[in-house]
Amino acid sequence: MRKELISRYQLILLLIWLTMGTGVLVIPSVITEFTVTDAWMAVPSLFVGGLLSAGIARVHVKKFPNSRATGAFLAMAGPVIGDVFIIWYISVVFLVGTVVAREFTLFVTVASLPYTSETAVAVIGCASVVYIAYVGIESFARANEFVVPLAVVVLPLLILLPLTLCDVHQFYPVFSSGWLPVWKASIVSMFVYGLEFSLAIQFVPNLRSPEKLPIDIVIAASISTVLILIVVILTVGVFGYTVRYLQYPVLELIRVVRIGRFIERLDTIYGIAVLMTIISKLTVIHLAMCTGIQDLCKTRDYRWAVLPTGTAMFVGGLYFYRNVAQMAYFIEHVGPSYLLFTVVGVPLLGLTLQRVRFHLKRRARKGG
Amino acid sequence: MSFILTLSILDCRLDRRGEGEDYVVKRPAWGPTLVWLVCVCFIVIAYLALLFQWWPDFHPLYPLELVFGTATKWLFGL
Repeated sequence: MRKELISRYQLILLLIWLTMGTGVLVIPSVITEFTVTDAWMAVPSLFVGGLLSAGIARVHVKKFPNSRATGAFLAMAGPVIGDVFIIWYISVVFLVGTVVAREFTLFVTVASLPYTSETAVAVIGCASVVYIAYVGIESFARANEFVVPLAVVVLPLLILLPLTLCDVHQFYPVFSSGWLPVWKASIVSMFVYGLEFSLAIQFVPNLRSPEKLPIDIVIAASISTVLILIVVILTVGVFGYTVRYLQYPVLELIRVVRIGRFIERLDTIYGIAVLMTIISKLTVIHLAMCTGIQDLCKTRDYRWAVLPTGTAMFVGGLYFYRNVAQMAYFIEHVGPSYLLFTVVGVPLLGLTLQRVRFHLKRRARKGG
Repeated sequence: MSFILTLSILDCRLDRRGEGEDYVVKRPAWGPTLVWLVCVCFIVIAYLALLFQWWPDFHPLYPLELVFGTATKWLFGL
Protein backbone atom coordinates (compact mmCIF):
# COMPACT_ATOMS: atom_id res chain seq x y z
CA MET A 1 0.00 0.00 0.00
CA ARG A 2 1.38 3.42 -0.95
CA LYS A 3 2.22 5.66 1.97
CA GLU A 4 0.24 8.90 2.09
CA LEU A 5 2.54 11.87 2.65
CA ILE A 6 1.89 15.56 3.31
CA SER A 7 4.25 18.53 3.01
CA ARG A 8 5.20 20.97 5.79
CA TYR A 9 2.99 23.67 4.27
CA GLN A 10 0.00 21.33 4.26
CA LEU A 11 0.67 20.30 7.85
CA ILE A 12 0.87 23.92 9.01
CA LEU A 13 -2.46 24.66 7.31
CA LEU A 14 -4.09 21.64 8.94
CA LEU A 15 -2.77 22.74 12.34
CA ILE A 16 -4.02 26.30 11.89
CA TRP A 17 -7.54 25.07 11.06
CA LEU A 18 -7.27 22.66 13.98
CA THR A 19 -7.12 25.61 16.36
CA MET A 20 -9.18 28.11 14.42
CA GLY A 21 -12.00 25.63 13.74
CA THR A 22 -13.65 26.00 17.11
CA GLY A 23 -11.14 28.39 18.70
CA VAL A 24 -12.67 31.34 16.89
CA LEU A 25 -16.07 30.39 18.37
CA VAL A 26 -15.06 29.42 21.89
CA ILE A 27 -11.87 31.32 22.86
CA PRO A 28 -13.35 34.88 22.78
CA SER A 29 -16.34 33.87 24.96
CA VAL A 30 -14.21 31.85 27.40
CA ILE A 31 -11.67 34.66 27.81
CA THR A 32 -14.22 37.44 28.21
CA GLU A 33 -16.01 35.40 30.89
CA PHE A 34 -13.08 36.24 33.19
CA THR A 35 -11.82 39.57 31.89
CA VAL A 36 -12.97 42.00 29.22
CA THR A 37 -10.60 44.95 29.26
CA ASP A 38 -7.52 42.71 29.59
CA ALA A 39 -8.85 39.94 27.32
CA TRP A 40 -6.11 40.49 24.74
CA MET A 41 -3.43 39.64 27.33
CA ALA A 42 -4.82 36.12 27.73
CA VAL A 43 -4.51 35.21 24.04
CA PRO A 44 -0.69 34.69 23.89
CA SER A 45 -1.23 31.72 26.23
CA LEU A 46 -2.34 29.83 23.10
CA PHE A 47 1.22 30.23 21.81
CA VAL A 48 2.59 28.96 25.14
CA GLY A 49 0.40 25.85 24.79
CA GLY A 50 1.70 25.47 21.23
CA LEU A 51 5.29 25.66 22.53
CA LEU A 52 4.49 22.92 25.04
CA SER A 53 3.12 20.74 22.21
CA ALA A 54 6.22 21.53 20.11
CA GLY A 55 8.44 20.42 23.02
CA ILE A 56 6.58 17.11 23.27
CA ALA A 57 6.79 16.68 19.49
CA ARG A 58 10.55 17.31 19.64
CA VAL A 59 11.07 14.58 22.23
CA HIS A 60 8.86 12.26 20.16
CA VAL A 61 10.60 12.75 16.80
CA LYS A 62 13.98 12.38 18.49
CA LYS A 63 13.11 9.09 20.17
CA PHE A 64 10.62 7.65 17.68
CA PRO A 65 11.32 9.31 14.30
CA ASN A 66 9.01 6.99 12.30
CA SER A 67 6.23 6.21 14.79
CA ARG A 68 2.88 7.71 15.66
CA ALA A 69 1.99 8.63 19.23
CA THR A 70 0.18 5.30 19.57
CA GLY A 71 3.12 3.41 18.05
CA ALA A 72 5.40 5.12 20.56
CA PHE A 73 3.18 3.93 23.42
CA LEU A 74 3.62 0.34 22.22
CA ALA A 75 7.38 0.82 21.92
CA MET A 76 7.64 2.40 25.36
CA ALA A 77 5.33 0.28 27.46
CA GLY A 78 5.24 -3.07 25.66
CA PRO A 79 2.25 -4.84 24.09
CA VAL A 80 -0.14 -5.08 27.09
CA ILE A 81 0.38 -1.80 28.98
CA GLY A 82 1.01 -0.11 25.62
CA ASP A 83 -2.46 -1.21 24.50
CA VAL A 84 -3.92 0.27 27.71
CA PHE A 85 -2.17 3.58 26.92
CA ILE A 86 -3.52 3.47 23.35
CA ILE A 87 -7.07 2.85 24.61
CA TRP A 88 -6.72 5.86 26.92
CA TYR A 89 -5.37 8.00 24.05
CA ILE A 90 -8.17 6.91 21.71
CA SER A 91 -10.82 7.63 24.36
CA VAL A 92 -9.42 11.13 24.90
CA VAL A 93 -9.33 11.86 21.15
CA PHE A 94 -12.87 10.46 20.91
CA LEU A 95 -14.11 12.79 23.68
CA VAL A 96 -12.38 15.79 22.09
CA GLY A 97 -14.10 14.78 18.85
CA THR A 98 -17.50 14.61 20.58
CA VAL A 99 -17.03 18.15 21.90
CA VAL A 100 -16.13 19.47 18.44
CA ALA A 101 -19.00 17.54 16.83
CA ARG A 102 -21.39 19.07 19.36
CA GLU A 103 -19.98 22.53 18.68
CA PHE A 104 -20.62 21.90 14.99
CA THR A 105 -24.29 20.92 15.49
CA LEU A 106 -24.82 23.78 17.95
CA PHE A 107 -23.30 26.40 15.67
CA VAL A 108 -25.35 25.28 12.66
CA THR A 109 -28.63 25.15 14.58
CA VAL A 110 -28.06 28.40 16.49
CA ALA A 111 -26.57 30.47 13.68
CA SER A 112 -28.32 29.37 10.52
CA LEU A 113 -30.81 26.47 10.75
CA PRO A 114 -32.88 26.96 13.92
CA TYR A 115 -35.79 24.78 12.72
CA THR A 116 -33.65 21.83 11.64
CA SER A 117 -33.17 18.97 14.09
CA GLU A 118 -29.68 18.54 15.51
CA THR A 119 -29.71 14.92 14.40
CA ALA A 120 -30.15 15.92 10.75
CA VAL A 121 -27.27 18.39 11.05
CA ALA A 122 -25.13 15.75 12.74
CA VAL A 123 -25.87 13.24 9.95
CA ILE A 124 -24.69 15.70 7.29
CA GLY A 125 -21.57 16.61 9.30
CA CYS A 126 -20.83 12.96 10.00
CA ALA A 127 -21.15 12.01 6.30
CA SER A 128 -18.68 14.75 5.30
CA VAL A 129 -16.13 13.90 7.99
CA VAL A 130 -16.34 10.15 7.40
CA TYR A 131 -15.93 10.58 3.64
CA ILE A 132 -12.93 12.92 3.96
CA ALA A 133 -11.28 10.61 6.50
CA TYR A 134 -11.94 7.65 4.17
CA VAL A 135 -10.32 9.44 1.24
CA GLY A 136 -7.16 9.89 3.31
CA ILE A 137 -4.89 12.58 4.71
CA GLU A 138 -3.04 13.29 1.45
CA SER A 139 -6.12 14.18 -0.60
CA PHE A 140 -7.59 16.00 2.38
CA ALA A 141 -4.46 18.11 2.81
CA ARG A 142 -4.42 18.95 -0.92
CA ALA A 143 -8.09 20.00 -0.84
CA ASN A 144 -7.33 22.02 2.27
CA GLU A 145 -4.79 24.08 0.33
CA PHE A 146 -7.64 25.39 -1.78
CA VAL A 147 -9.09 27.12 1.30
CA VAL A 148 -6.07 29.43 1.60
CA PRO A 149 -6.75 31.70 -1.40
CA LEU A 150 -10.35 32.05 -0.19
CA ALA A 151 -9.18 32.88 3.32
CA VAL A 152 -6.70 35.43 1.95
CA VAL A 153 -9.56 37.26 0.23
CA VAL A 154 -12.19 36.91 2.96
CA LEU A 155 -10.14 37.33 6.17
CA PRO A 156 -8.84 40.89 5.59
CA LEU A 157 -12.36 41.91 4.59
CA LEU A 158 -13.84 40.48 7.78
CA ILE A 159 -11.10 42.11 9.86
CA LEU A 160 -11.01 45.53 8.21
CA LEU A 161 -14.75 46.20 8.05
CA PRO A 162 -15.49 45.92 11.81
CA LEU A 163 -12.33 47.95 12.52
CA THR A 164 -14.27 51.15 11.86
CA LEU A 165 -16.57 50.33 14.84
CA CYS A 166 -13.70 49.53 17.21
CA ASP A 167 -13.26 51.81 20.25
CA VAL A 168 -9.87 51.82 22.00
CA HIS A 169 -11.46 53.00 25.26
CA GLN A 170 -13.04 49.58 25.71
CA PHE A 171 -9.57 48.32 26.73
CA TYR A 172 -9.28 50.71 29.70
CA PRO A 173 -8.60 50.49 32.60
CA VAL A 174 -5.69 48.10 32.12
CA PHE A 175 -5.35 45.48 34.89
CA SER A 176 -8.66 46.55 36.41
CA SER A 177 -8.74 43.37 38.55
CA GLY A 178 -5.05 42.41 38.54
CA TRP A 179 -3.37 39.36 37.01
CA LEU A 180 -5.67 36.63 38.40
CA PRO A 181 -8.52 37.03 35.85
CA VAL A 182 -5.95 37.14 33.03
CA TRP A 183 -4.40 33.87 34.31
CA LYS A 184 -7.81 32.19 34.60
CA ALA A 185 -8.77 33.39 31.13
CA SER A 186 -5.52 31.92 29.75
CA ILE A 187 -6.07 28.37 31.01
CA VAL A 188 -8.44 27.09 28.30
CA SER A 189 -6.44 28.60 25.42
CA MET A 190 -3.19 27.25 26.82
CA PHE A 191 -4.13 23.75 27.98
CA VAL A 192 -7.06 22.91 25.71
CA TYR A 193 -6.41 24.61 22.37
CA GLY A 194 -2.62 24.87 22.70
CA LEU A 195 -2.23 21.19 23.53
CA GLU A 196 -4.44 20.15 20.61
CA PHE A 197 -1.41 20.83 18.36
CA SER A 198 0.12 17.67 19.80
CA LEU A 199 -2.37 15.67 17.69
CA ALA A 200 0.12 16.22 14.86
CA ILE A 201 2.37 13.60 16.49
CA GLN A 202 -0.16 10.99 15.38
CA PHE A 203 0.67 11.86 11.74
CA VAL A 204 4.47 11.54 11.96
CA PRO A 205 4.64 8.61 9.45
CA ASN A 206 2.63 10.75 6.99
CA LEU A 207 5.01 13.72 7.08
CA ARG A 208 7.57 14.35 4.35
CA SER A 209 9.94 15.89 6.91
CA PRO A 210 8.99 14.63 10.38
CA GLU A 211 12.14 16.15 11.92
CA LYS A 212 10.68 19.61 11.25
CA LEU A 213 7.44 18.86 13.12
CA PRO A 214 8.30 20.91 16.26
CA ILE A 215 9.10 24.03 14.24
CA ASP A 216 5.94 23.53 12.15
CA ILE A 217 3.87 23.41 15.33
CA VAL A 218 5.53 26.65 16.51
CA ILE A 219 4.75 28.35 13.17
CA ALA A 220 1.12 27.17 13.24
CA ALA A 221 0.75 28.23 16.88
CA SER A 222 2.13 31.72 16.19
CA ILE A 223 -0.17 32.27 13.18
CA SER A 224 -3.21 31.00 15.12
CA THR A 225 -2.32 33.22 18.09
CA VAL A 226 -2.11 36.31 15.89
CA LEU A 227 -5.47 35.53 14.24
CA ILE A 228 -7.23 34.86 17.57
CA LEU A 229 -5.63 38.02 19.02
CA ILE A 230 -7.09 40.10 16.18
CA VAL A 231 -10.49 38.49 16.71
CA VAL A 232 -10.47 39.13 20.48
CA ILE A 233 -9.30 42.75 20.07
CA LEU A 234 -12.06 43.39 17.54
CA THR A 235 -14.86 41.78 19.58
CA VAL A 236 -13.90 43.60 22.79
CA GLY A 237 -13.22 46.84 20.93
CA VAL A 238 -16.65 46.80 19.29
CA PHE A 239 -18.88 45.34 22.02
CA GLY A 240 -17.08 46.16 25.29
CA TYR A 241 -18.73 44.50 28.30
CA THR A 242 -21.73 43.41 26.18
CA VAL A 243 -19.49 40.68 24.76
CA ARG A 244 -20.12 38.63 27.94
CA TYR A 245 -23.76 38.11 26.99
CA LEU A 246 -23.09 36.90 23.44
CA GLN A 247 -22.85 33.20 22.64
CA TYR A 248 -20.91 33.73 19.41
CA PRO A 249 -19.26 37.17 19.68
CA VAL A 250 -17.48 36.94 16.32
CA LEU A 251 -20.70 36.08 14.52
CA GLU A 252 -22.38 39.13 16.07
CA LEU A 253 -19.33 41.22 15.16
CA ILE A 254 -19.68 40.27 11.51
CA ARG A 255 -23.44 40.86 11.68
CA VAL A 256 -23.05 44.47 12.80
CA VAL A 257 -21.05 45.35 9.69
CA ARG A 258 -23.25 47.45 7.41
CA ILE A 259 -22.00 49.85 4.79
CA GLY A 260 -24.94 51.64 3.18
CA ARG A 261 -27.35 49.08 1.78
CA PHE A 262 -24.65 47.46 -0.26
CA ILE A 263 -22.41 45.50 2.14
CA GLU A 264 -24.33 43.69 4.88
CA ARG A 265 -25.14 40.18 6.16
CA LEU A 266 -21.53 39.07 5.86
CA ASP A 267 -22.28 36.46 8.51
CA THR A 268 -23.11 34.03 5.70
CA ILE A 269 -19.49 34.15 4.53
CA TYR A 270 -18.32 33.80 8.14
CA GLY A 271 -20.69 30.84 8.69
CA ILE A 272 -19.33 29.04 5.61
CA ALA A 273 -15.74 29.69 6.74
CA VAL A 274 -16.42 28.41 10.26
CA LEU A 275 -18.17 25.27 9.01
CA MET A 276 -15.28 24.52 6.65
CA THR A 277 -12.73 24.87 9.42
CA ILE A 278 -14.76 22.83 11.93
CA ILE A 279 -15.15 20.00 9.40
CA SER A 280 -11.41 20.21 8.77
CA LYS A 281 -10.71 20.05 12.52
CA LEU A 282 -13.09 17.13 13.00
CA THR A 283 -11.42 15.24 10.16
CA VAL A 284 -7.96 15.68 11.71
CA ILE A 285 -9.31 14.42 15.06
CA HIS A 286 -11.12 11.55 13.37
CA LEU A 287 -8.03 10.52 11.41
CA ALA A 288 -5.95 10.60 14.61
CA MET A 289 -8.52 8.36 16.32
CA CYS A 290 -8.76 5.90 13.41
CA THR A 291 -5.00 5.56 13.04
CA GLY A 292 -4.81 4.95 16.81
CA ILE A 293 -7.43 2.20 16.45
CA GLN A 294 -5.41 0.80 13.54
CA ASP A 295 -2.37 0.50 15.84
CA LEU A 296 -4.50 -1.04 18.57
CA CYS A 297 -6.04 -3.68 16.28
CA LYS A 298 -2.79 -4.08 14.31
CA THR A 299 -4.47 -3.92 10.90
CA ARG A 300 -2.88 -2.78 7.68
CA ASP A 301 -5.31 0.08 7.09
CA TYR A 302 -7.54 2.33 9.20
CA ARG A 303 -10.44 2.77 6.76
CA TRP A 304 -12.61 0.01 8.22
CA ALA A 305 -12.85 2.09 11.42
CA VAL A 306 -13.90 5.33 9.77
CA LEU A 307 -17.68 4.79 9.63
CA PRO A 308 -18.42 3.27 13.06
CA THR A 309 -16.16 5.60 15.04
CA GLY A 310 -17.26 8.69 13.10
CA THR A 311 -20.92 7.95 13.74
CA ALA A 312 -20.22 7.18 17.40
CA MET A 313 -18.38 10.52 17.69
CA PHE A 314 -21.37 12.53 16.46
CA VAL A 315 -23.91 10.53 18.48
CA GLY A 316 -21.64 10.87 21.52
CA GLY A 317 -21.61 14.63 21.04
CA LEU A 318 -25.41 14.76 21.19
CA TYR A 319 -25.61 12.27 24.08
CA PHE A 320 -22.83 13.53 26.37
CA TYR A 321 -23.59 17.26 26.18
CA ARG A 322 -27.33 17.80 26.20
CA ASN A 323 -26.98 21.62 26.19
CA VAL A 324 -24.48 24.45 25.83
CA ALA A 325 -23.91 24.68 29.59
CA GLN A 326 -22.81 21.03 29.89
CA MET A 327 -20.43 21.40 26.97
CA ALA A 328 -18.99 24.68 28.26
CA TYR A 329 -18.47 23.09 31.70
CA PHE A 330 -16.57 20.20 30.12
CA ILE A 331 -14.34 22.50 28.05
CA GLU A 332 -13.56 24.92 30.88
CA HIS A 333 -13.43 22.74 33.98
CA VAL A 334 -12.48 19.25 32.78
CA GLY A 335 -10.56 19.94 29.54
CA PRO A 336 -7.42 21.65 30.91
CA SER A 337 -6.30 18.97 33.39
CA TYR A 338 -7.65 16.13 31.23
CA LEU A 339 -5.57 17.18 28.21
CA LEU A 340 -2.55 18.12 30.32
CA PHE A 341 -2.57 14.65 31.88
CA THR A 342 -2.98 12.95 28.50
CA VAL A 343 -0.52 14.99 26.47
CA VAL A 344 2.19 15.45 29.10
CA GLY A 345 1.48 12.97 31.92
CA VAL A 346 0.85 9.80 29.90
CA PRO A 347 3.98 10.10 27.68
CA LEU A 348 6.06 10.79 30.80
CA LEU A 349 4.57 7.69 32.39
CA GLY A 350 5.42 5.76 29.22
CA LEU A 351 9.02 7.00 29.24
CA THR A 352 9.38 6.01 32.90
CA LEU A 353 8.01 2.55 32.09
CA GLN A 354 10.47 2.25 29.21
CA ARG A 355 13.34 3.02 31.61
CA VAL A 356 12.08 0.51 34.17
CA ARG A 357 11.69 -2.18 31.50
CA PHE A 358 15.19 -1.45 30.19
CA HIS A 359 16.74 -1.79 33.66
CA LEU A 360 14.77 -4.96 34.42
CA LYS A 361 15.90 -6.52 31.13
CA ARG A 362 19.52 -5.57 31.79
CA ARG A 363 19.37 -7.00 35.30
CA ALA A 364 17.81 -10.24 33.97
CA ARG A 365 20.56 -10.48 31.34
CA LYS A 366 23.27 -9.96 33.98
CA GLY A 367 21.61 -12.47 36.30
CA GLY A 368 21.37 -15.04 33.47
CA MET B 1 -26.07 -2.52 10.51
CA SER B 2 -25.45 -6.27 10.51
CA PHE B 3 -24.89 -6.02 6.75
CA ILE B 4 -22.23 -3.35 7.26
CA LEU B 5 -20.69 -5.40 10.07
CA THR B 6 -20.49 -8.47 7.84
CA LEU B 7 -18.95 -6.38 5.07
CA SER B 8 -16.39 -4.97 7.47
CA ILE B 9 -15.35 -8.43 8.69
CA LEU B 10 -15.22 -9.64 5.09
CA ASP B 11 -13.09 -6.63 4.23
CA CYS B 12 -10.62 -7.59 6.97
CA ARG B 13 -10.51 -11.14 5.65
CA LEU B 14 -9.98 -10.04 2.05
CA ASP B 15 -7.30 -7.71 3.26
CA ARG B 16 -5.23 -10.68 4.38
CA ARG B 17 -5.36 -12.79 1.24
CA GLY B 18 -1.93 -13.77 0.04
CA GLU B 19 -0.21 -12.50 3.16
CA GLY B 20 0.66 -15.97 4.46
CA GLU B 21 0.01 -17.72 7.77
CA ASP B 22 2.38 -15.53 9.75
CA TYR B 23 0.31 -12.45 8.96
CA VAL B 24 -2.89 -14.19 10.10
CA VAL B 25 -1.33 -15.14 13.42
CA LYS B 26 -0.10 -11.59 14.07
CA ARG B 27 -3.31 -9.79 13.10
CA PRO B 28 -6.42 -11.42 14.56
CA ALA B 29 -9.84 -10.45 13.16
CA TRP B 30 -11.42 -9.84 16.57
CA GLY B 31 -10.04 -6.27 16.76
CA PRO B 32 -12.10 -4.71 13.94
CA THR B 33 -15.13 -6.84 14.85
CA LEU B 34 -14.95 -5.69 18.47
CA VAL B 35 -14.56 -2.03 17.44
CA TRP B 36 -17.61 -2.33 15.19
CA LEU B 37 -19.65 -4.06 17.89
CA VAL B 38 -18.73 -1.50 20.57
CA CYS B 39 -19.52 1.41 18.24
CA VAL B 40 -22.86 -0.05 17.07
CA CYS B 41 -23.91 -0.83 20.67
CA PHE B 42 -22.88 2.67 21.80
CA ILE B 43 -24.75 4.34 18.94
CA VAL B 44 -27.94 2.33 19.51
CA ILE B 45 -27.98 2.71 23.31
CA ALA B 46 -26.93 6.39 23.33
CA TYR B 47 -29.32 7.43 20.61
CA LEU B 48 -32.30 5.54 22.00
CA ALA B 49 -31.54 6.90 25.48
CA LEU B 50 -31.41 10.37 24.00
CA LEU B 51 -34.58 9.89 21.97
CA PHE B 52 -36.77 8.38 24.68
CA GLN B 53 -35.10 10.16 27.59
CA TRP B 54 -34.12 6.97 29.43
CA TRP B 55 -32.35 7.85 32.65
CA PRO B 56 -32.56 11.61 32.05
CA ASP B 57 -30.42 12.25 35.13
CA PHE B 58 -27.73 9.79 34.08
CA HIS B 59 -24.57 11.68 33.24
CA PRO B 60 -22.05 9.40 31.48
CA LEU B 61 -19.11 11.75 31.91
CA TYR B 62 -19.67 12.31 35.64
CA PRO B 63 -16.59 10.29 36.80
CA LEU B 64 -14.35 12.25 34.41
CA GLU B 65 -15.88 15.55 35.53
CA LEU B 66 -15.37 14.62 39.15
CA VAL B 67 -11.70 13.61 38.80
CA PHE B 68 -10.47 16.12 36.26
CA GLY B 69 -12.83 18.89 37.38
CA THR B 70 -11.28 18.65 40.84
CA ALA B 71 -7.81 18.50 39.31
CA THR B 72 -8.48 21.63 37.23
CA LYS B 73 -9.78 23.46 40.29
CA TRP B 74 -6.79 22.38 42.34
CA LEU B 75 -4.17 23.09 39.67
CA PHE B 76 -5.50 26.24 38.03
CA GLY B 77 -8.15 27.60 40.39
CA LEU B 78 -10.94 27.38 37.80
